[in-house]
This record gives sequence, C-alpha cells and structure tokens, in this order.
Amino acid sequence: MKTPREILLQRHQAAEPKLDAIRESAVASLSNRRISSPVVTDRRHDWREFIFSLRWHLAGMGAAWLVIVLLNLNVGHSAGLASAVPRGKIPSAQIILASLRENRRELMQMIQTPDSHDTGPRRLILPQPRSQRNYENLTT
Amino acid sequence: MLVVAEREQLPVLQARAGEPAAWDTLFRRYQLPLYVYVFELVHDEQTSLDLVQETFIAAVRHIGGLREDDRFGSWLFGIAHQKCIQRWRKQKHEEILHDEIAGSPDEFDDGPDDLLIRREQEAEFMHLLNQLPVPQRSALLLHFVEDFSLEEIARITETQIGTIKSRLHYAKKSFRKLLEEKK
Repeated sequence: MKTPREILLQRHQAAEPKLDAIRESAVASLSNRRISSPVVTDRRHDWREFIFSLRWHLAGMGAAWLVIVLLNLNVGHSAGLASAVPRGKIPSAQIILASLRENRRELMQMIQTPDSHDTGPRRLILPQPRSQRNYENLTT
Repeated sequence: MLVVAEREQLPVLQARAGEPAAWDTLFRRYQLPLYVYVFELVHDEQTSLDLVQETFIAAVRHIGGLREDDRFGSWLFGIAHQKCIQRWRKQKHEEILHDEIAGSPDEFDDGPDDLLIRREQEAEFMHLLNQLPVPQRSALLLHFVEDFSLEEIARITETQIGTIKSRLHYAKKSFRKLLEEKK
C-alpha cells in the first residue's frame, strides 16, 4: 500500500537528473549575480522600507501641495480677469480730469437758481427790524 | 520511502542573504514535488521543466516578497501555479481554471495519507486524477504532494478556502468510491 504522494513522486523520479541540471544552473546564475550585490539589494530593500514608512506623510504633503496649486490657480484666474481689460481702452489721466471738471460744472448748473444768473454775486436776505417793517406797512 | 519532513529547518534566511548553498538546499528539497505538481497540471515534460526553471529564477529574484520564512514552500508553489496560469493564458486555456462545483462541505479534515492505494490500483488512481477538472486536480495535488493546509492551498491558488474545501471533498469522494469499487 502506498500513499498518493509516494505514487506521484516515484512516478516522476526519472526527471530528477534534468531537475538537478536546472537547479545547478539556477544556483550558478545566482553565484554570478551575487557578486554584484547583496549589499545593493539590501540597500534597495532599506529604501523601500523607508519610503513605505513615510507613506502617510508623503500623502499628506501631496495633498497640501495640491491645495496650494489649486489656490494659486484661483488667484491667477482673478488676476486674469482684471488684466482682461485691454490696455488701449483705459483713458489717459488728462481725459479723466477733464471729464471730472465737466461733471462738476454740470452739477453746479443744476444747483444754482435761474435768476441768480443776472444779479451777479448773491445777496443775503436778512429779516428786518419789526419797527421798520410796520412803518413800511403803514406807508403802503 | 519518500516522506515530507515535518517542521523542516530550511535555510530561508541564508537564501535571503543570497547564499548559493542555501538556495541549492531549498531547490533540492522542492524540485521534484514542484515538478510533479506542474507536470500533472500541464502534462508535458519539456513545458514542466521550463516552468520549474522559471519558478526557481523568479524565487531568487523575488525572495524579498516572502513575508514569513516558514511559508517558503507554499510561496514557491504559488509562483509555480502562477507560471502555469500564465502558460495557459498564452495558450488560451484559462477557462479550464474556472469550472466550479456547487455546494461546500461543512468540514474537511482528512490527511493526505488517509487514502492508501494498492499496487494494482495505481494506474486507476493516476487515471482518475487526470480525469479531474484542473481546479480540483490542482487542490488535490497540493494536498497530496506537500500536505499543504486549506489556507495554504487557498493562498497558492488564490481561491476562497470554502472553494478549496469543496474541491478537495468532492475529489477525495471520487477516489474513495474508486477504491471501494476495486476492493
């Protein structure tokens, strides 16, 4: 009586010499590679571990940078709006000054009464003394 | 008589350090079981030898990805299993990996050696093994050849444990039936 494992392994025992050759070539290629670097692979491994341990920090920094970039884009956009008015359409300082003077003159015209135009400088109308006023009334 | 050594002390740590002698020991230990597993899946000698070689090379290259040293065996078989799948994909045979069995048994606690086969039943045993669908055959081979646990077989084949339990249950049921008929 045999176990399934015994049956299976015995059945393929003939392949052992070929498997030995494969094993030897794999080990030989390893010896050739070694060589360049258990130290290098260790360092690579250390680097990987180091980066992995910082993954949350890196993710946080990345998110912060993303926010900064987005804010920057927004500011750039508003500045862009202001600068969207073509320079050629902005009036010169003299024109603005002249326009202000004109506005002021029109405003003055609207404030002044029509008859004040003829009389020159405006007189103050003060109330008269009561006695004088009575006298005038009697005479009229 | 070939027996699986229990709780073997394999020089995995030294292999990680790139010692050729350690790799030689590891490959010597697994070369035949690995070949048996691959051959019984692909049924071609040269392909099987190629796949074993590719598995060895990949193991050396990716030993850094092995998390627990005492799982070296299942890790190595996992690489071989993936190589077989890649080969099937190239040959457009991947559908054979996906036939499933309905239902799952509650328990599966049989050992691989509870099936004892008489000399006159050996041919029948091999014939029945080769009749099994690939997923069942794969699980059964891992169980027979290396006595991997359900968890290990599930990890090697990247399958749910319940599915593995089911595959082993139905495959062994078929074998028992065969052996009882031939008594």
